[in-house]
Order: sequence, then C-alpha cells, then structure tokens
Amino acid sequence: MSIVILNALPMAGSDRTAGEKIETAVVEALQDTLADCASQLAVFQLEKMLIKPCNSCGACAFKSPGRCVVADDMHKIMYAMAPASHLVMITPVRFGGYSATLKKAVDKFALLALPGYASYKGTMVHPARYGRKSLLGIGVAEKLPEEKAASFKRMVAHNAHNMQTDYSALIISPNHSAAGIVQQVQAAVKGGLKA
Amino acid sequence: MNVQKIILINGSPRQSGTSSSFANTMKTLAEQAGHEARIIHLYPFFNKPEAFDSLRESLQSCDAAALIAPLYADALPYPNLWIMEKLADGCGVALRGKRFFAVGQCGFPDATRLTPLLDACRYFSEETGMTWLGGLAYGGGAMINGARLETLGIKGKKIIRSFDMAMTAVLSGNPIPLESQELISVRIPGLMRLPMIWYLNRVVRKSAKENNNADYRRQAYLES
Repeated sequence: MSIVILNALPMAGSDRTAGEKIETAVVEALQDTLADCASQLAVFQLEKMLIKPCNSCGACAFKSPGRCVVADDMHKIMYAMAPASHLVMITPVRFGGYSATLKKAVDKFALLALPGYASYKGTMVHPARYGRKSLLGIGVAEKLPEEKAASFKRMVAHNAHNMQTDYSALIISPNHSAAGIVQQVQAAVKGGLKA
Repeated sequence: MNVQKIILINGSPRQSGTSSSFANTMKTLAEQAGHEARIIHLYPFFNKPEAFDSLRESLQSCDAAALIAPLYADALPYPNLWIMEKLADGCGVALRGKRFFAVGQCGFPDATRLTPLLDACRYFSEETGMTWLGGLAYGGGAMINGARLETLGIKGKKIIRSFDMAMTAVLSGNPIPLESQELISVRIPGLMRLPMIWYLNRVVRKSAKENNNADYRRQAYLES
C-alpha cells in the first residue's frame, strides 16, 4: 500500500508559495486519512521533470511490453506507480481539465494498462497491468465557474473509469488556508476512496 | 464569393494516421467549395518557440481553424495542450473572432469518451475570444488506421457526408449541426460487446505471437 502524488503546480517564481502550501497540506491530509499507505509516499514535482511526449510508437505493446522506449524521467514515476495503491494528481485547471504539465505524465498512463480488452460498466476498457489504484484528482483554480469545475471532475471520472477504479475529485483555491485545504482533501478521501 | 482561409490542425504525432486522414478529407471539401485550406501538423511546433510564431501568424491570418486530434488518456495529447496554453496566455486578442471547431477521435467505439477533449477545445475557444462552432466525436478511429475515407466504402461515405455538413456550416459561420454528429456515431449493440472483446483479444494474442511471443502482460516496472 503506497501513495504517489503527481504535483503539476508551479513550484518556482511567484506561484511557488501557493504550490508548496498546497502540496504540504495534501500530504498532511493523506497521512491522516490513509495512514496505512502514507508510510510509503512519493511526491513528484512534474514541472522539474523531463517527460517527453508519447509519439504513439506502439512499442510498449509488444516490442518492449509495458515499458516506454523513450529515455526520460517517466520511468522514475512508473517504478513508484506500478506498486502504488493510490494515485493523487494536483494540477492547475486549464480548459476545464489538466494542465499540460500534468498531462505530460498522464499521457503515459497507457503503460498501466494491458493491450487487451475487457468489459467494464457497459463499456470496453484495457485491463489494468498492475491492479487497480484509487484516484484523487485535485484541481487548483481561483473562482472557477461551475461548468469548468464539472468538466474537471468529469475528466477525473473518465480517467478513473479507464483505470477501473474508485475516485474522488475536488477543486481548491490557492487562496484557501492550509487547514482548509487539509479538511477538503480529508473529506474527498473519506467520501470517495477505498482506504 | 468570398474565398475563405481554413487551417486544419492535425493534433496527432502521426502525420499519416486517422486524424490526418480526417484533415485531408476536410481540406478537399473546403477546396471543392472554392476555399483555401491548409493542413498544419502540430507536433513540429511543440517546444520550439521560434516555430511557434509562425503557427500564431497562420492562425491570425485565417478565417476558420479546426483541431483534429486523437484521444490520449481521455483528453488532448500533451503537446496539443502545451501549444493551446501558449496561445491562450500569449496571443492577447489576436485570435478574437476567428471561427474554431474540433474533431476528436478515439480507438474505442464509444464516442462519449471524447467529451473532455471537446470541452477543452470549447474552453480554449472561449478563452482566446474565438467563435466556437462545435465539435465532432468519432469513436472507432483505430479501425480506420489512417486509411483515406474515400477508400472505405459506405463507412467512409457516411463520415465524408458528416464532414461536408460540418464544413458547410463552418464556412457559413454557423454551428455544426447535430445531424453531422449523428451520421458518424457508431452504435454497437450491448450483446456484441463481449464477442467483440473476445475477437480483439484474439488479435492481441496473435500480434504477441508474431512479435517473438512477446509477454505482453509483463509488469516491467515491478522488475528491478
């Protein structure tokens, strides 16, 4: 049981303080609500990582099964994600979904799936390669219109469906207090994720 | 007739895949209607600030633009989002009033998977002041696998008819009609799902065999 956090918030410049505050608060909330897993918790600050785009080369299906042939930092993340029980994504909300900084990692989630097919809740999906992982998506935005917040939550729901897992999604403001963020994350974890 | 300039952006890393095939058909349809159309492949602009200016200039000089893209992990591929963020953050009012629409395609037959992709295109359009004319979602893009629509018989004809209706609407400044989406919606009866999965898994096993009996279930990232 372990947790992987993918943090796509800006961790440099004027936004650094908010990014650090949110990351710290999320870690504190997870340590409280998922105590069994939190002893093994890995945080990846994506802004600093070199993750090259997926070029749809298809090598990860049969030529190099389950392993991306591109040399970049995604391998470090994958070694942590493969055995993890929980995956947490923190991202600025862009166009009602994930920022490009988060998406550079998410595009390679195909590595978590097998090339075959299965039926899940009335749809076709790719079976999970490493078992199911609970998913928590945290969108960060100031004064986000409800429609965009709903789009963000739908985005997380689609990812969770494809990963055939339980999930929770929430929007937090960078202006919230650290204590407020801890409470929101705790509520989201208790409300939607399997411990 | 006022000749319009249409930019068709291929958001796929593949320059001869299904998104590219869709863009080619749309280009032909726009040209047949007497307009100028150009396909721009997006990936060469990724992470290249010097090339990025020429993309922005192309968009500034067009009347309408479309993003035609595959679905990666339930949304637009990362380089698409990277470029859209740069455009939204750095273009000011340069794109205001340009007509914009999108075509998303995914491997699974269920086109509702494309909702987040089309949402993102709509919000991008709103944030840059472009005029959103709607999106089309095509499920089953993997089965086309880059083939020219003109060679696909009845299936290809239906998609071309859908794109023709969409292009006619866009050239007139109107939203893409619902009928255009209905024409390309693939409906697979629930009873067919399990046989289809059985067949596709058979194809997967065969491909593995052809690739030196590849262990496609390998858990590479649990190995040290």
